[in-house]
Amino acid sequence: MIRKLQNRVLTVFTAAAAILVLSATPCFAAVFYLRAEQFTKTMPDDEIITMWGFAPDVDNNFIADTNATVPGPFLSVDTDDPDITIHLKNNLTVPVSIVISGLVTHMDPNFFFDSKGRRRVRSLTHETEPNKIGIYTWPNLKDGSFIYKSGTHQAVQVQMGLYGGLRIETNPNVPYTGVPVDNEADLFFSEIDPNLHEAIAAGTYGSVNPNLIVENFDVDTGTFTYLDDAFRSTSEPGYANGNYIATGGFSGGALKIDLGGIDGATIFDFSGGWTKNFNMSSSESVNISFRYKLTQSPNYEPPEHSEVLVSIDGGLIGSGGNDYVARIAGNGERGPEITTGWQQFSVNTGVLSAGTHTITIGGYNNKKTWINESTEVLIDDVLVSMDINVTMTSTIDYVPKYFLINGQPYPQSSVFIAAGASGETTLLRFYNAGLQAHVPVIQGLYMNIIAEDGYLYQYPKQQYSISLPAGITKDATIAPSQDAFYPLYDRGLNLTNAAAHPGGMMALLNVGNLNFPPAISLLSATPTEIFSNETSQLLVVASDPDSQPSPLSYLWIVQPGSRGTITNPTTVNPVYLPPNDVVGVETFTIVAAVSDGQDTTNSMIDITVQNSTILSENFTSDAGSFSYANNTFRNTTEPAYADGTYTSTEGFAGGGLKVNLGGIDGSTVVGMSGGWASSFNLISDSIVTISLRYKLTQSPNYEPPEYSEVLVSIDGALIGSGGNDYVARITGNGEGGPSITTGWQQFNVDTAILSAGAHTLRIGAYNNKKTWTNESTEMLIDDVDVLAAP
Amino acid sequence: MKSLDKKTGRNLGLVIAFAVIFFSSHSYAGGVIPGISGTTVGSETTFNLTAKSDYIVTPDGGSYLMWGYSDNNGLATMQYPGPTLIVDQGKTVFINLDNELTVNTSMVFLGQNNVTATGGDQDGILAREITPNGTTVTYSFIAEEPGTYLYNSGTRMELQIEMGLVGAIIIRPTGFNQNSNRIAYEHADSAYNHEYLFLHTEVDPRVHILVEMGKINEIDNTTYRPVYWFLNGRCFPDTIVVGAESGLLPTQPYNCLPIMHPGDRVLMRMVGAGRHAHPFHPHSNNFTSIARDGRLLQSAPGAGADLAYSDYNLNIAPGTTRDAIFEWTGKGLGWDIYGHAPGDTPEPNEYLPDHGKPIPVILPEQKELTFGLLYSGSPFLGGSGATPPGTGVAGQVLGGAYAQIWHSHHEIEIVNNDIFPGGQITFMLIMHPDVTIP
Repeated sequence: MIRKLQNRVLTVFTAAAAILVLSATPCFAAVFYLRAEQFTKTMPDDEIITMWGFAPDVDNNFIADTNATVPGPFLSVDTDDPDITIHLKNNLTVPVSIVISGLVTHMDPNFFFDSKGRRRVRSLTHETEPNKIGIYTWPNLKDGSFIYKSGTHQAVQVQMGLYGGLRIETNPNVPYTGVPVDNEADLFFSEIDPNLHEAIAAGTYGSVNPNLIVENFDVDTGTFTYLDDAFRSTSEPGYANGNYIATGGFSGGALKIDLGGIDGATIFDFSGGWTKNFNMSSSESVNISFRYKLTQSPNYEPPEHSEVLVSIDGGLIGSGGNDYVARIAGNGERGPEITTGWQQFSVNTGVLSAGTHTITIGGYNNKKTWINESTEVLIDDVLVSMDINVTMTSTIDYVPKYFLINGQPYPQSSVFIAAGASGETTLLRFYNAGLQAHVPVIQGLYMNIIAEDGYLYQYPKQQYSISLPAGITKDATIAPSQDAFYPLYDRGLNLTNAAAHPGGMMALLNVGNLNFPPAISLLSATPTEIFSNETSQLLVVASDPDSQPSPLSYLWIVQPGSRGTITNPTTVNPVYLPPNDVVGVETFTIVAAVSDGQDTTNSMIDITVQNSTILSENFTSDAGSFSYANNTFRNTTEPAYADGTYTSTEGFAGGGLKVNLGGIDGSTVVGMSGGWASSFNLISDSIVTISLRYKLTQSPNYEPPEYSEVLVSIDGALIGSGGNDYVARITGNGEGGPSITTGWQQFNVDTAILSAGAHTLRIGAYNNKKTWTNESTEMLIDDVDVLAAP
Repeated sequence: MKSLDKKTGRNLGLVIAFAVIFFSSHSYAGGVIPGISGTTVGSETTFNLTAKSDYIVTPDGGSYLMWGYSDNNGLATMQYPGPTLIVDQGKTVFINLDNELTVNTSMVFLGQNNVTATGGDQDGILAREITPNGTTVTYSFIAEEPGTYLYNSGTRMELQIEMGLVGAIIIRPTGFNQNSNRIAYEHADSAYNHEYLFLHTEVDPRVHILVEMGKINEIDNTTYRPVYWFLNGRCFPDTIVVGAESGLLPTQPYNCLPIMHPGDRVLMRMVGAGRHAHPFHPHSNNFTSIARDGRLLQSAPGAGADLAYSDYNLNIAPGTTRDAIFEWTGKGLGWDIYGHAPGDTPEPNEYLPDHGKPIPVILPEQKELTFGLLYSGSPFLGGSGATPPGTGVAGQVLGGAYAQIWHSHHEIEIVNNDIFPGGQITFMLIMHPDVTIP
């Protein structure tokens, strides 16, 4: 009988973020109000899983107040209670029930007759229909840990999440006779196969038959009916005909369409098809396949042609960009008969809405001019099926991807499980509502396993491992001598969330109510390679993994020994400014310190900085990093007419580099060049600014179009100015003319983006032709700088 | 006739395998688990291991990339499983780990409490980690309790354990003496004559191929499906081939071939180093399960193995260890296994109630028998007789031993990638007392 509740106090308190423990007050019947509901649960990889679960109904009115969870609320009952009563409101769309393995009660199984007439059990006890309230009672309570779960269609409903833990004890400090403890913790194991949940959510789980039409026409037309003028708006019913044939199909019988013939009339456009309706329970794309054989008699003259056609709801579906399945064009008077032979055709229709649709398969002929022009279409083996992934016909296909402790896979919030303190004894209640066995182990600690399925062992088993077959409960005590985080994980290595690691059944027993330091999940500097005139954007992403997270504070510092500054160093995303006196390339270390008020987690990142002045030479005492080579430009091949020297006096100020071209002898020489080269490295992709001074001087006597040029190249590619590929050019002014000079000029140019890595800068001169010994060119170079553009 | 040829060929392989065992000199005394003892100075024992990669072979011709541990004080070859670390109770154990893998790695030691770590490069979830070619990490613990334990990677375990980063630890109890006091725990209930390791693992080759191809991130742990099952890193029939000294399987130095005389107590040290449970099933007699996870099955400290129990199928769950004592004398057969006449002098440890008893049936003629591979040609221990070609291994090379198959009772595990026989099979060889166990 239902007991009234006015004398009961139902307390709800939070044991962990996702766990509710419902405790009925001792010495009265324990009464709980639960709702069975659908909800979604987000996995660490952002997969959203449709779950069914139990929700505690706090105010007993079954108006939703607390969300359903997986596992359901932990129920706590006093052994001295005369019984447990659960009022279950079913907010799902299928009947459910509640059973508790290990507690004896009267059960009324629910039977049904399967398709073969066999009487089978669907529910281990009486069901609660959707939107109804059912009442379940268990008398004769005993100490122990138990799993309550759905007793209806358990293969599906338990896996969907309709499970939870139940602890029965008289005294929480003595959960079993003779076993005093200081604390208790629940460790509830379960798994999720997302395919099953997806199939349930989509209504495709179980006996879903994707096939809409399956006909081989071996017996009859399979309720296909024939229709004249089925395609292309034809209106010549007299020249189309359909028949069922019992033999002559691809195998056995087939559907036949005859077109044309009849008489000597010239007829345009005639067609016929076999048609059938099918019904879609949901909106899906549909696969169609059938066999056909199209045969055209002799004597059709092109462009007369015959076609095999298929339509859905009047819309033709063809292949290869055509609206027909196959076409045969006539080959002229007295040509041979033409046939496709038997062919298989398959096509996907795209998505069809739920409801009734019509498929029509047949043939069409655009014209016939005589009685001996006729076409035959045979149709066999029609399969129309929904293009759905029937992933779960039963849990025989069960492949779990998520492995949960207290409803959460690592690293979600239940990673830390409070388990007393050193010097104390804590009871760990293990429950496995999954469909697989698991072997949790505790690293660094032994347990005394004291009970199984609510039965106390005569002697405890001292182990660091505990085998948990499906459906079992086991209880173990730990008595750690040190406060610490003790890892607890499934040694069956279900330690990923789908393919992502780490994850799965891993938790940390928090012995001593320790604070867990903040976890830094991301530390970045964008970019990590910069020039000294650039900055780097810093970012740290951190969280406090404790079950009750604290606000985090941030402090960025430049590691002692490193240089640079950080703006707004107490934010999550400050900016790093490098020093401007970087020598060549230097690497600096930045430290992000994240604190939760008790512990600080440090993480370091290196930023490599290159002085933005990549190359700077004024040739005061020597050629610096530059070296001279002949024939550096324009594919010249005259090394004897080019020369390079260092000059200590002829530079713009002091020393400089010199290139001499031409002269030497009276030969006519075409194409001379020489240049000074220096290599530099770029730490990152960058535009660089090249600046230099030059002075180009041409002797008298060059005749136009003879000319001399100043050239600059990066990695062999010339960089000029004013749309030219040269920096400066002097054209000869003829025999006897004066010497021509540019005088000292400053040249600045920005390159295109150069990739990170080594590059070669060449600066020099080119002369296209000289005809006599008195035609020579001199180029001077000074003050070369290469700067990274910010 | 084709099938007969095949069978003969296979049997010949077994003859050779067994022959190799007995015609090779062993570098260790029979019935002692091979392993390494590290360097002991005072109360400290130090091991130097490196995680590195190499290949193992399977009897079907497979060759798979593995990650494993090498003993830097020995050949420094990666081995599967890692070296069995044998230490004395009470010692402080230091394990220096270097890393030649391309991934971070670490070590954890189930059953050891208060493990500390120094050095290394970063904290992992379960243990201090060393990066590739990183700073040596040193793990340390006190070998407080004797027993059988295991070690394995504590980093991305579902991958690294599968890849082979596993090994056994044996802690010898105080009072242990190899010559005069062979005990597994600090109690005579754990006394034995011979000890053998049965370290269970399994391999899904797809994982190893993806790692070899550099497609480590394509591995889906949730579709794991092994097709090889190992005892001490070998699949049958490699389990019964001679051990490290042969050089035949350089990265799989440990065989798994228990040998005993009637009446001997054989300590079976069983380690579930993989990720699946393996029910191990010895033929010919029950064993007595005496310890679990390195703890004697006792009702109270010092009580001895008073909660030990007899069984014929021991489920070796992943990460767990079990110790059992196996004995066999021929008791209960109802006939004298030595073929004694009633007045003959009994053999050592003979089951005397059957002394001199004849086989209680009339034996068929030789020509009416079907000869098993391992039948010596004589029903009597130590005997031999004429056998057809390709059979009679026991008579020819095993001194008339009784060979008893010991195997996983999860019998899909006694194949090598679908080829029977293979996987977790070995044989217990019961030798005549006159035959010296090598």
